[in-house]
Amino acid sequence: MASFSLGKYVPFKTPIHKMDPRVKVAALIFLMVAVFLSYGSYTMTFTVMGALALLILILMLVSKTSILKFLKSLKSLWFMIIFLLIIYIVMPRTTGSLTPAFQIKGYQFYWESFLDAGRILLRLVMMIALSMILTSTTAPLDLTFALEWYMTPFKLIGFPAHIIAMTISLALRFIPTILEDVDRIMKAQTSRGVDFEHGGFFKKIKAIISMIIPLFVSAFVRSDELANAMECRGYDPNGKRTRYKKLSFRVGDFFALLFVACVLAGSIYITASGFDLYALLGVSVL
Amino acid sequence: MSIVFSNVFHTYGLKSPFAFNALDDVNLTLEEGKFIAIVGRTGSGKSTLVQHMNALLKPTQGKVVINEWINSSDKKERTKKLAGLRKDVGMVFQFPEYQLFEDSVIKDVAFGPMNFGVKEKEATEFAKEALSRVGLDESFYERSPFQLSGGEKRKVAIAGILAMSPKILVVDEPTAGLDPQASKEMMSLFRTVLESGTTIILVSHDMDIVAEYADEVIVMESGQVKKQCKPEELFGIALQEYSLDKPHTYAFAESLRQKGIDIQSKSLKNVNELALAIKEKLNG
Repeated sequence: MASFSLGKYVPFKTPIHKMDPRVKVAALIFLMVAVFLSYGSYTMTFTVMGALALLILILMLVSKTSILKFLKSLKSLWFMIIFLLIIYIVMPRTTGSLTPAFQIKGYQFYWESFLDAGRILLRLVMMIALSMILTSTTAPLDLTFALEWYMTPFKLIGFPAHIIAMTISLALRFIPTILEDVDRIMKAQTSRGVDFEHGGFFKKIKAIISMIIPLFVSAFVRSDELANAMECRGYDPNGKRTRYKKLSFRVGDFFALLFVACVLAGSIYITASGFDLYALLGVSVL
Repeated sequence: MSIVFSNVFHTYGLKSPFAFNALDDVNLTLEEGKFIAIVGRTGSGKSTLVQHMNALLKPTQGKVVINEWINSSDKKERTKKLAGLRKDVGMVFQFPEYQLFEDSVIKDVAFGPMNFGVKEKEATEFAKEALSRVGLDESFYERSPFQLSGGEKRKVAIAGILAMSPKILVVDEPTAGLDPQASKEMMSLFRTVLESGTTIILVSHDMDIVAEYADEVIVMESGQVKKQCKPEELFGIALQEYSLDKPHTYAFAESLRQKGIDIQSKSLKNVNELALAIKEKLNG
């Protein structure tokens, strides 16, 4: 299960690791919005997106997020990426002007399709990079605390934010445990001659069944034991809970928030005003 | 079938902040036909060590040679097809009852041999034989493994490995969580398996069992083999340095010695030998 490395928390001590998880969640959302806005002309779009990509790259370097792991996680998405690119290139958009590029067997391709495909690819890559920065610098529990904090206002209308948060944190807590189970069961069945990597369709199905059934059995046993243990320690879903770790908002967090808010405000301004640096300078590229 | 470890390292989480040497330059030769116990505290690398014996884990450095099979860190050197190795080195994991999945006991036990290409009819024969060896009679054949008690489940799981007729049987903590009677039965089962010519490699924390059954003990500590010797030699010396307990028989003899009764016996495998040693001392 070594492939499950996407966004796993890595305990370094960088400024980004030390940030308040609530600020990190907000920053992620702000930057994501900036990534997904459209910026008028293609030149302007790619300029702004290039700037954002540079910012994300700097963030990755500062937070010591492994670029290698990032590329690996992209590798596992190659199918989706190729699918998207083909859709964009084969089916040109119907609005706006199109510049013919070339023809293959009478089928017309347009330059704009390639640019659109490139834009969506860039957005996707940046989105993955951003979420990876968040998850690799924030411990899962801190992340759930942040989510719970954001859900607090909904408590007023009777939304069980703390129960949801507990469920999420339990689920997150058990991901590594279940992966360990998977590993253990796979090894046990491999010892009994099951081959998880080779073999035809039916052999693979049988191999997977030999793993899934024991996995379910142990997951149910575990959840039963967990429920009992929580009950024995007096867990009351509706009780008021205190925190071992208090979230704290520091000066650095304020500046970080201010910075991403400025980035977002800037990008919204560019979108809304149709600001075009190249038109202003009188240069035309495309 | 002998197993030879040469300069084996195994590092978990290589090139990450979690990197940890579970095996640290292990050199070891395990001879065939013996009952070999591997002891050491939790986290000393016992389980990692045994998983190299049927190539579930690959060394990050060094190589393990198991007869004609080579499990090496070097891909070119490593034997390509490892299925035969898995058949010859049967591995019973800790709490093996969690690997059961078929809808009947007999099918689950026959699952192993069938994976190694034995025909269904023959595999069922092997399964019946293995089940009778672990002491489960015909009434169990068609029952669901999930209806059985914990001890019975474990027997089924062990039968599942025995049905593959391995030449080396590796068992990890087979008596954990069993009552004393059941652990005794379990251990005498392994003794009969040994007598039929299978090498037994046992990972255990229970020094009484090690003293009674093992021909040879390997002491592991922080990923290294600290000692390989006969059990009486290990239990004769100060065990504290490996943070291991003395078996009850040796502890009793030690206690007698402190009270002034020195028993002249090297081997105290079980209560019987202890009683004999005391009798000898009393008589003369």
